[in-house]
Amino acid sequence: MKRGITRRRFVTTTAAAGASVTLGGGLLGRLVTPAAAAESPAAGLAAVTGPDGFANTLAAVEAVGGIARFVPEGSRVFVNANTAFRHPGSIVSPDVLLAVLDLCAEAGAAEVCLVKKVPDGYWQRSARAADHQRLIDGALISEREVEVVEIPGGVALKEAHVDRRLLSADVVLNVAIAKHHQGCDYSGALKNAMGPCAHRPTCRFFHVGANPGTDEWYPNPRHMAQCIADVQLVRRPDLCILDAGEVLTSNGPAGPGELTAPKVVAASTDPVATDAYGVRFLGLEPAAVPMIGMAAAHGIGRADLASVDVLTADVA
Amino acid sequence: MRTRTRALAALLLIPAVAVLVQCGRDPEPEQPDRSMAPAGEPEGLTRAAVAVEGWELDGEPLVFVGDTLFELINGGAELYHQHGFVQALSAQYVDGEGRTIALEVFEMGDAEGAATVFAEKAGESGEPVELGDEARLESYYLNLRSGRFIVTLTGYASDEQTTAGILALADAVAAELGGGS
Repeated sequence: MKRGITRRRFVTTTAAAGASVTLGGGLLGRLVTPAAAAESPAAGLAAVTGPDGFANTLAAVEAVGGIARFVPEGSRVFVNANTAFRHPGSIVSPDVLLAVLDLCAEAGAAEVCLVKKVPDGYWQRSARAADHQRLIDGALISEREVEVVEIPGGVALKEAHVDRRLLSADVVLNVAIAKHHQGCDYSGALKNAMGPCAHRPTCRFFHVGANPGTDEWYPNPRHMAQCIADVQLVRRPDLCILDAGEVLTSNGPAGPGELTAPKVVAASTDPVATDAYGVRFLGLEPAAVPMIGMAAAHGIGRADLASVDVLTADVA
Repeated sequence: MRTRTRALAALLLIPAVAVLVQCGRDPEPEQPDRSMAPAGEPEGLTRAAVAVEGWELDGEPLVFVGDTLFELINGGAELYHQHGFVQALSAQYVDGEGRTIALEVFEMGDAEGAATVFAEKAGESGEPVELGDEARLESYYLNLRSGRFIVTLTGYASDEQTTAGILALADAVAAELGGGS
């Protein structure tokens, strides 16, 4: 079923709600009229601010071309959602993930598989859970069968043990949360690529590298950053959705810690640009987060937001 | 990029599910035994999932041992493993108005390992609270150390009722753990 929210309607609706719509390269962009924005091609990155993470997600995806651009009818979709923690600001909001399930259903996906099961009580934190129970029940949970993938272009990571479903899916959606991370300062779309990796040996190698006997938490941040950049070469996501609704700004990745509430959801096909945009929620510049430049060096995305068509909308 | 398949099941070194432990409780429990079971025994740790007035357990507490800790806190598990992690308990409480508080108890091999992890997690921020060996209260959560145990109670709100619940549960859990070193 086609919901019928076109890019034009998204822009018009946000404008009618008193939103400001900004389109253009770089962080500043240029203010344009809603009509002009509607005539533009799909944005390279869309960031929607508003009180409702579900609505923000739908609008952000629409602004980068609509879900049908990424999820063909009858496709098998692997949703790499960061839900492996429990505390506020450490995992993707259930409203954002419900929106993703909703979009996949709208596109006519034949199968939706989540990378991991969600924590107990997770869905109940969304007021929409009851209305989406059929989609929740219909989503598969990966069995976590792994394949070993060689990464000839990897600098630090030459092979990875990854979820077989990541490799076999028709479509990969990277649904990440922007938050603090003790080992790499920031966690977002790039870091979320570790989600389909086996804890041992792959994630363990990311964390401690050549220092397995260390008693430091993350002894070699640059090694970890390089591994995160390298693992992007396994399977580039078809679409990244970054939840910055509630952001953990200390004690990451697990929390609990300090929280902020930017109430933003961003979407882009480019994981590097997604994080170059997302680091602002931690008060950082892209150049201060090594994995961003390292991933860009692999040619999988753009770290310079001035070269990205960024559309922002505020529906608050 | 080339792929190759190995013995898939053998590579899954991590058990697929955590150990699920039912907290069997009498309606009117007898005076609690302060001597915790030896380190590593799940029945010792599940006793920390106490109930207090106005807050009831929601679902069954889960115990995580070894690498299953990654299922609870993913990459956060490294810190615990590097300092003698033994097992962890996760439980959730609800009050009559739908507020929730999450309880996590981490059992370390000794008090020194627990103190190191506590210092990393809690630091010097927050308000000191006289519970256990050390405790700090933040706006919506509390970290506590008692002997070889580290306790974190997290509310999903920072209203007065949730904070009161966190403090009441912290007091009860600390009493149940009793140091345990």
